[in-house]
Amino acid sequence: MPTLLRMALVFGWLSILGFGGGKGIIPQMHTDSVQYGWTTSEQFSQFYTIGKLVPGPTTIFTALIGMQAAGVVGAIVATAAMFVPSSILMMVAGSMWKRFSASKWKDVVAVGLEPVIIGLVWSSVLTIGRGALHAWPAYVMAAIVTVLMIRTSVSAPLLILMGAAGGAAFLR
Amino acid sequence: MTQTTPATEPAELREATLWEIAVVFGVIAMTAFGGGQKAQIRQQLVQKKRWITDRDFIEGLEVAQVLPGPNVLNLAVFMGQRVRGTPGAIVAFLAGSVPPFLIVLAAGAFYFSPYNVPIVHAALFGAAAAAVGLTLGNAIELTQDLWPKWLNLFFMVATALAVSYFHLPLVLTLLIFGGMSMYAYYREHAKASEKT
Repeated sequence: MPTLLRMALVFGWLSILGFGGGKGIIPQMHTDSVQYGWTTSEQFSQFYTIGKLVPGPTTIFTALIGMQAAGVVGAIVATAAMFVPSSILMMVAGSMWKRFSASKWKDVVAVGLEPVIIGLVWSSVLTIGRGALHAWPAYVMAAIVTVLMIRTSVSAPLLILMGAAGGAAFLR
Repeated sequence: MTQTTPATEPAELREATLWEIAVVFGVIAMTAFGGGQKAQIRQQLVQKKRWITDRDFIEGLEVAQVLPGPNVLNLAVFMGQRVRGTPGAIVAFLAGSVPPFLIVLAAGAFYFSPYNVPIVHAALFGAAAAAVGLTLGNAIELTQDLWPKWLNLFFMVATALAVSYFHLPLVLTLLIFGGMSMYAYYREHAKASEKT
């Protein structure tokens, strides 16, 4: 199958499965991207990091996977596949929103699915960690950022930039 | 002497042009990091722009969070549609996704360029370590919300093990564990409403 078509299908499918704001799709995205040879594990972790650094949804880093696999056209196809299907669902739901808001399924999905989404976030930690932590200073930095994130209100991009400074100093 | 108008009387809603929608959601997309700014969006759309009532905004936010997709982008699409129908939704979608896409593309152009010298590479490793820390911190905070309920913790741990050690595909994870977890919530909820 041509790369562009494959990417459209893979990311389009992930778009539909992106419950919990898309937090849960990272492990599957990694599996697919590595399996089809679009990125290495290491690159995947770095692209995810760039997604956390820039404004907008984290999953915008899909563009980088597409770019790595098939240039700028790949970036456009991958990003459109990631955001268009879920947005169309939202449009359809939005036009019927009175009925949606009245029904109880909303809570069942929102609250009922939460434990599974959080389990997927734990899996994402392992997925990203495998591609990102290769030396002990990296583990130390990850631990420091974890504590700072929980204990302080320092913003996510700032913590990533601190990590970058630490990396330039200690990980060469 | 006393005010006769009740303070809760809703202000009149305003019409929005497509251009306004593009500007508002473009700015939101460019200042939204990691989805922590729903209060600001609410203030902007409900109080400043007066495009939507507060009640409708909350409903829209709930639908945006329940459906798949980034919450802020979903919210933009919902608001665009509410205010100006399908063209409004399309404009809001483009405003919410194209600017971040262009920024990430610029970052990618640098990443894949010869300027990606060893020190930049080392910085990226450090940044990636920080991203692991952020994700771990997020996982810990989210788990704290589940804490006292052992059944929720069971579904969480089972999901993480199934995905990370048995490589269960996402769709099956959502169907099997998501299905069980939602059913458990549904049953508890149904029982609770039977009693009343």
